[in-house]
Amino acid sequence: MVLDFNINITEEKKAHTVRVAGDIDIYTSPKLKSFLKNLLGAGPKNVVLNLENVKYIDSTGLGTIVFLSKELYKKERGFSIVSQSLQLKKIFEVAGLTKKNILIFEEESLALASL
Amino acid sequence: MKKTDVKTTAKCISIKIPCYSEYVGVVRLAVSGLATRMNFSIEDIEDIKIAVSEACTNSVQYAYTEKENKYIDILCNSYKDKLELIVSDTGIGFDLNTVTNSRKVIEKDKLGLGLGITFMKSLMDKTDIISTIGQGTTIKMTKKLSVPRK
Repeated sequence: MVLDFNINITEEKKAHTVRVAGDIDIYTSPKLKSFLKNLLGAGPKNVVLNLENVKYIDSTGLGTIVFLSKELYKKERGFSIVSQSLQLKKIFEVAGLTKKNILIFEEESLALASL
Repeated sequence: MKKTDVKTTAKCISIKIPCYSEYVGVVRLAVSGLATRMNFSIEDIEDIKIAVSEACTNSVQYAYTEKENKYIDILCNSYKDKLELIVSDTGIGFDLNTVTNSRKVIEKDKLGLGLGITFMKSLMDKTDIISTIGQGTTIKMTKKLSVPRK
């Protein structure tokens, strides 16, 4: 549903894990981007972006993910995504992001282990 | 009216939203409901949701410099064998031939309109974009039903 957008974060040993729920679109992307910008200034940790509870993402959401990925790369911090959604994987492919070293894992434990 | 005319007549749903980002999700839910009623597959419904959202997002982001009292019109024509979506604004318009390159330079953080167009063209069976500088933009998209309705 559109209204159920929320973000929470936990700090693991190796990474910050950001869990997003709801639709990521032109309305919610700025909130996510603002949250992630604050996170980028919060120390040297890697980031796992858990999108298990994201049922919809569009080009503005992908733009935010690419922004995060580039900023983390510049700071030599690792980044991975968690999602089982075939639709999400499909639009990553359409956008050409699977060629940009953005890795998607089906389990959070696997995403953490990759960093 | 001839019998063949009846078969090709669309049932039309018209939606008009203020040109603000919070209403794009409302259109997405409404169009998703229509596509479900038309018996599109789950994968096709997801494609349609993205395409109509991208068209509305384009208008919200680029059509109007002042959004007060500005609207986006969404026309959903439901046929027996396809869904036709027409999203239009009366904003500043853009030059489709140059938009991708220029926006890539201007908006480094965003994937921008170029990706929105890629999604619409990739996920729908047919996408036509007509934009005139100073007059607005109309995006017409069609998704065919794999099994036409009776």
